[in-house]
Amino acid sequence: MKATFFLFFMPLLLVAAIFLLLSKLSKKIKIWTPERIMIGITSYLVLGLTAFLYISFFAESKIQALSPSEMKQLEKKLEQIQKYDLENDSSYLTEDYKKKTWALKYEGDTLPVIVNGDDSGSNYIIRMRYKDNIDSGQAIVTYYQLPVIIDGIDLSDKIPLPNVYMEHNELFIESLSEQQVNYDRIKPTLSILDFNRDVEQEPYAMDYPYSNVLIIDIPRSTVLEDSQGLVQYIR
Amino acid sequence: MNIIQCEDLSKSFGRRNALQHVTCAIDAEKIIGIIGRNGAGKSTILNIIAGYIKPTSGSCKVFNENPFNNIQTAANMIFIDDRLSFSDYLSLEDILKFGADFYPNWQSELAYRMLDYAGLDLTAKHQQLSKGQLATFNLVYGLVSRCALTILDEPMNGMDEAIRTDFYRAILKEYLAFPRTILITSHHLQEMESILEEILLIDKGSVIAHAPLDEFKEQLISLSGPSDALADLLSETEVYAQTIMAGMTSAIVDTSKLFVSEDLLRSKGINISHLTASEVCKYLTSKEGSDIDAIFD
Amino acid sequence: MQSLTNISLKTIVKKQVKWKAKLYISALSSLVILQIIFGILLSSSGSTSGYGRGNLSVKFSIYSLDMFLIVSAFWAFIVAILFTTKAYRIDDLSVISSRTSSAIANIFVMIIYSFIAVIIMISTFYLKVLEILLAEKQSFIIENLFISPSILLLCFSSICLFGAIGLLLGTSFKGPTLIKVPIILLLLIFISLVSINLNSLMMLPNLIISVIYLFVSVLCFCLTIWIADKSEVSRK
Repeated sequence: MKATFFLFFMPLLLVAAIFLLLSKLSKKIKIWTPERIMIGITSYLVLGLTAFLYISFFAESKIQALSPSEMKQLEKKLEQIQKYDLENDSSYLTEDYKKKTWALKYEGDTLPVIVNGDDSGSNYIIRMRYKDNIDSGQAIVTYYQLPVIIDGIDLSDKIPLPNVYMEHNELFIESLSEQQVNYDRIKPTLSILDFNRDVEQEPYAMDYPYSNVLIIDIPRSTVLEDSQGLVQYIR
Repeated sequence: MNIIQCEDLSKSFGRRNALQHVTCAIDAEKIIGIIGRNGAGKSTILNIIAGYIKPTSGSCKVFNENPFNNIQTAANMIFIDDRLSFSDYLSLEDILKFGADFYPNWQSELAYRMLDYAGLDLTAKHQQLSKGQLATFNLVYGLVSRCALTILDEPMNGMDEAIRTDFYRAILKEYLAFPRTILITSHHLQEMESILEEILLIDKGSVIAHAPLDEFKEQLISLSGPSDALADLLSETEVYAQTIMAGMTSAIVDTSKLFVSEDLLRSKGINISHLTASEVCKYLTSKEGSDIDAIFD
Repeated sequence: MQSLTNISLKTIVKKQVKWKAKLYISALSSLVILQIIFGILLSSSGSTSGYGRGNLSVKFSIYSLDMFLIVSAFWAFIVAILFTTKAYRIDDLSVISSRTSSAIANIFVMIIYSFIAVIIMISTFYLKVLEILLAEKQSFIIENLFISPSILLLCFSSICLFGAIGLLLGTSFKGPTLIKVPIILLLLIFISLVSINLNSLMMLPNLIISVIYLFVSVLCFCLTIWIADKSEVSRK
């Protein structure tokens, strides 16, 4: 009841108050003839049109929202990826998704891995892979970023990369502190309607835990020591 | 031909009866004065004729149609009073264009000349005018629209003496140029007498007289003479007012009920004098025994 | 006897609409100011929605037409009531008019103004967009620049509906008591019915909602004319 009051009556009262104030003021000011008001309103409309033209010509927004059909395609792709991951097949990790590579050196045949600062759950998944063409004492860590779509916006680039480094002959993987991203969305519809209809429709956000993958490539001679049990083997 | 025909017309606002069983007919192309004291029901009857309000009972026909909310009667009628109002955005000149757009018989040229004569600034706004200027403008607006039925409710209220006389002439001239039915109410009956053809006297919601001006004036007569000579006479007829001073009586009596010839009266030493229309109105509408002096005694 | 002038209701309504549309123009200028105040100055952030994903939190500020439409609709309601107030009604008596013609003229002016109000609304929306664009060029997402016709129609019909309700309410207040009470009751019932079924109403497609709104508007307009037809008027 309180919410309806604030939503409905407060604006009404405000509009009424301002309206009455304006009509009182306009009576005081004698220069406003109907013709001049008409000119004023027309110029306001022209201003709006100019704004529209300016936006449509000069404001190519860098961030594009995906259309529902594009979303459907992506959805299929991501389902596929999930399957690959379950089968421990690394062939889905193509160059397209590669974000960053760290080449690390270590001594001996064991490589302990310590994952830090991952309280918020599955921020990324860590897989290890044996590779033949790597010199012993070297590990290559590769970060793959699969698409992350929230509300039709591809946020892959916004997700902060983890910090990977060697210390005391141990491999540390640290996630960075929380990052906030703000977007201004121009949506020329009625969000009251959209909001209500969304409840019944499919959610517009796509969000898979498998979208951030960290691959540790090590030579076959090395044993990966994973005390936290977070690293899985992948072919 | 009657352009207004009222039959058994009554109107009450809540419990108050503003009009009671009014029956009257008004001929076309006459200037008729509607006279009555404050609160007599003049405005009510005019509002009914103008189609603004609906009678409680009875019928009113204007141009043979029910005027209430009727666009045909509205097109041939204009109602001018001191509450005539226009949008804040219109200057007097704009109002003339506004009127010209609506009224088919509009006399634009004449309007400009009359306003110029009255010395009104055409760029002024209607609500900025003084009371007298407002009345002048409204009257001009009513006249130049040349509607078959022109209702002027207190058109001269607030005007100064000189412009009043001028505009009575203007009404008459306009009437001659374009004969129409003009209903005028005014408190200044004396000034109006020269242009009126008929008088409709309303009191306490009823029509008490409706007659051509001359006939109307002769309804009452003033007699004065020695009290003893008049006493018999007055007991037989209806006396509207009577004053007795030092053995001399003067009385206002109904002419139609006085069955004595003037010569006979003169022989008794009784003087006969005729009354003006406004005096007749005053006596016809005054309350029985009402006397302002009485409340101070 | 001079011949009487014969003027059809249509001619008078046309003339009244022409003059009223011009003389009531201050209503539109007040809408422009209201839109600027509410749309551009007050609602600085739009409606927001947030998502968290791991160590990334995303905040969307959504700029939609809602605020602009709500302001326009309330404006239409107030303006419509204002059109039926004494000051405006007395002005009608100064020229050839009947209550019917004035009511029809008011309705037409309301419809024309609703239409212009939609344009003013859109204009303000794009000005708002421009403001965001100039202020924050980086995180700017244009989901769609063009407003779909069905949304436009919905805006128009909503503004029209509020105007129609305002006219009906304003007119019935001046009408005979016998009519006044049932009409106000009817309106109350209608509003409560709508607010109960608001959710299911919003689930309908835009076009159907528009048609419902326009239908109710027409109903209100008819009732307005009918009441005006029965109402007395006085300069006092």
